[in-house]
Amino acid sequence: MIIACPKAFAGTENDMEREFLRAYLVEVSGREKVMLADRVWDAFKCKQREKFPKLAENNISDMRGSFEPENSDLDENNDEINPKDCSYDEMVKETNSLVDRKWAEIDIFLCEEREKYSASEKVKTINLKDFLLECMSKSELREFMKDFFSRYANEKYK
Amino acid sequence: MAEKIYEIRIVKVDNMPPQTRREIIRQVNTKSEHFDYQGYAKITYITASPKSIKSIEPIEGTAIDYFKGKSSQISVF
Repeated sequence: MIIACPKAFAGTENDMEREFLRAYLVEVSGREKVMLADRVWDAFKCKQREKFPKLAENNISDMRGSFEPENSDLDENNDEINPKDCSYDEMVKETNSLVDRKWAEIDIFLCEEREKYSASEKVKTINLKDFLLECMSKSELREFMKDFFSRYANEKYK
Repeated sequence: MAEKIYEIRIVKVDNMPPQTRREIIRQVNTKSEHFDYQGYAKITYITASPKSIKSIEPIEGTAIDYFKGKSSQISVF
């Protein structure tokens, strides 16, 4: 199981590394999604609808293909439970609680602010950049990594 | 009003069941010769439980191409 902190999931930095993570999930597992604390997913939906009213629903559906909240955001009738926005501190607190509760099942905690998560000491904690670097050293991912960098090289390393 | 989409997933067609692979290949064969199919498809679900597929279609390029450039639209924290 992979868990992500709010910034690793939808932060304003590390775009390339996040896109890498999503492509990696398709390439390697095919089924696995990255888990988030429920309030992080809720806050994401609220902020999407506020910031990108025209694109939000598509962005949310698209992100759902790679990420999921711990508990479903739908009720028994399959209708969305009204999401509630929350402060960043609350997101951190709930993510820390998620890691603390699920530590034995967690393979990786993707975390951009390790110092904010005391539970990160219980699990393998790595940021998005280091996750990408770690994948570079895996021989079974050689072709995938080559493909990834060749497709980004034109824009990122001009 | 546009139909609500629940989830969009990108998949590697090699990892899909035979009937799905056949359907993707059938669709690829209807595309122009310039369609850059590299073994990936997009599945669109309209409901979550039970999961109900609205469409499945081949995409051009790889999953890397599909996700490239998307993060700027999703960054909110």
